[in-house]
Amino acid sequence: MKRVLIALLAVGLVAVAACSGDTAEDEGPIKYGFLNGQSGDYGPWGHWALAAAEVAVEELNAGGGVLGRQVELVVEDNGSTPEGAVSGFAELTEVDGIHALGGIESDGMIAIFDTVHELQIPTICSTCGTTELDNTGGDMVFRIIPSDTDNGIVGAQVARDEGYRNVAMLVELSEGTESPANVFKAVFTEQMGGTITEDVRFNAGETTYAAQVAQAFESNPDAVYIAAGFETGVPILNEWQRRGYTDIPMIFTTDLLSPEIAEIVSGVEGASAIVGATAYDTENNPAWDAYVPRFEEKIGDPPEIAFYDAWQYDQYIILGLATVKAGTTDGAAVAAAISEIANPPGVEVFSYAQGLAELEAGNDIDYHGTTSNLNLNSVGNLLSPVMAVIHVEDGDWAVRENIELDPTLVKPS
Amino acid sequence: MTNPIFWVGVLTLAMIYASLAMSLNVESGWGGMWDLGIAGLLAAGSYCYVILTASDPDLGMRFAPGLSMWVAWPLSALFTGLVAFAIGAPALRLRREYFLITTLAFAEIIRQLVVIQADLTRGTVGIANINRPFDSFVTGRDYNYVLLGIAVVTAAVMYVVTRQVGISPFGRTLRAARDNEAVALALGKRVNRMRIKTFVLTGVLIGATAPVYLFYIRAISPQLFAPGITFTVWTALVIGGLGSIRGGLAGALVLIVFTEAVGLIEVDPAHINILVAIEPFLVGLLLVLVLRFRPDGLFSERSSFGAARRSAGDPAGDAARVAGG
Repeated sequence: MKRVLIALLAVGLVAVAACSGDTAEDEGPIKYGFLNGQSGDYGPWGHWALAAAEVAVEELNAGGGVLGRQVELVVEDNGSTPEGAVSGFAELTEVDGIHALGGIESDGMIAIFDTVHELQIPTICSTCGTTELDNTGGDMVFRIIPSDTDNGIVGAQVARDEGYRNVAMLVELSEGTESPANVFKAVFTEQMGGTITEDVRFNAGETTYAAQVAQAFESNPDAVYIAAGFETGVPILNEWQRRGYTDIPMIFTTDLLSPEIAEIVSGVEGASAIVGATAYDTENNPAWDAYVPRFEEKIGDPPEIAFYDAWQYDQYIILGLATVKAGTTDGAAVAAAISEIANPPGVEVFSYAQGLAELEAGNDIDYHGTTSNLNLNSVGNLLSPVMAVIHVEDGDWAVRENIELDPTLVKPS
Repeated sequence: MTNPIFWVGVLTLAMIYASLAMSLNVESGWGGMWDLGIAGLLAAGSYCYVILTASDPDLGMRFAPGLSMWVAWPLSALFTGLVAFAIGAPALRLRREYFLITTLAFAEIIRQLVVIQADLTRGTVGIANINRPFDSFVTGRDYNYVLLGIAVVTAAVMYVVTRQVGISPFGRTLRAARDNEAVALALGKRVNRMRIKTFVLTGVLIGATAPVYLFYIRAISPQLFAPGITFTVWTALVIGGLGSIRGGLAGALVLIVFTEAVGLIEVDPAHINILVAIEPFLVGLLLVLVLRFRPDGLFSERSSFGAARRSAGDPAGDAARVAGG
């Protein structure tokens, strides 16, 4: 019993020693949480995501802060797991006292969705493609990237426009890859009359993908649709190259938009890969033009296409402007202001400083972000995003064109 | 001073892991069956609970009976026991590392079955809005105290049940068979049957803990049951003392509180990657230090059962019990 007491005492001391945080207060800095996978599956993107968030917070503070208070970015690693998201969110809310949250991914968002509403923490999901958010949200949770539903539909649209009638599928078994792939399959077959020659599903981390690659590429497809994380994509493409399937075009999902993948594809003569997904309307966009050099200064490299960093930036500019619009850090008021500053009517603005000036002049604003106009529908999702068609050009990914989602294509039931 | 609600959440998670570690101790500490399939059994219990309590037609699940959580909870425990039996029957023919690898493989098979059976489990998308007890009476932050109470009661039940198993003739025979199987067989003990019973019991206990884990996470998806959860339970048990009655409880408490306390270290956002790298290092260091200075863990098996015998007023040794039991 004595040892039990000693163990409990030791635990208590550790706990007390660790007690150093604050709770939300009306004075001091405004705290925006950044709950993101800095380790684990999403770790490879964490560095870019955090840098973009920091660029945004620096912009808020350079503009005089929010409501006259400096903004502090409170960072918490969720380990890319739902359990990490739950404990990380608890730490951000109960220890750090954040006023709003950004940075979270799909599975973590689903885990904290109810708690976010109970605690009234305005949350912007900048990396959540999950179809679970297609019909929920809009009161406390907002999503500023296209849903996996949109990504699946635009993938099918690109396949149709390229003239592919028979497509094989290679799909990694994870939420982020299966969701768009399932939509792609339903739209391509049911609404376009296309044929899936093979639907091959596989796990990440397998020793070899030889059988799966052969199964898909030898089914006489016009093209192969590959939905996978880039860690899995590399061995798949190595197998694709080794087996000489390089004359069959490929359609990728967003997660394969990595420099390593572009390098592999561009190194093979005659190979083609295309990505029809994600909102990336950066042409003649002042917000993008202002963001790129600051990101590059921060990290030493320009932003990679669709590495989620631009959305990480946008979400904190939105939160800053919404807090100013609300005139308070009260969660419900800030959440209500998010759609107001992101949607028309209002003066179009492309930075925090512009938005702040207009709000202080008593005008409504319509904030346009780095990659889209960020207009939101009633459930807090992007409203008809302009999608990008991205391909490999000169050894790297490049936007070939921007297209509107075909309104005749509908979300599968 | 940190809001106490945060530590309430930490203690809740610690109690959940304590329940899992105490369950694991029965088969691994006393039975000598080194099981790496904890995540699989937890997945079986969790999905059973979620499916049985699901009632929302919008979820598109082909079987959603919408049972009361009070009915689904014990059924989840029983179902996990059945799954453990299905795994144990073939796996327990193996020993040591072969058994270990087989249980790890079964856990992964369960996870893949969950992914494949998407019309029953919603596959990789998962399910949110988990039914939680008393949440119509207590809401918001205050529910954390209710959840802590549920987790503490669960851990207490696990402690009482596993302790009773440990000091019973069955538990003594189990440990004796672990230490010398040939002697146990020579004494007429049906070692294989005993091990299957132990494996099933562990499954039932993990299945009973599974809903509490879901009450904490509030959502379910296959990625929740990656092998990492198994290794966390094992780490807690090793820190606390493999084979000790209190080991799982103390180990989980120390491990989870320590891990969360490390996470509270404040660093500049630009250096978060350093903290992220240091966290597992510090947890590993904790494990090394415990094993260096207390090789049997915080509580040893020997002291544990010595104390149990003294509290029972019976100084007789295990060997005599086995011979008689």
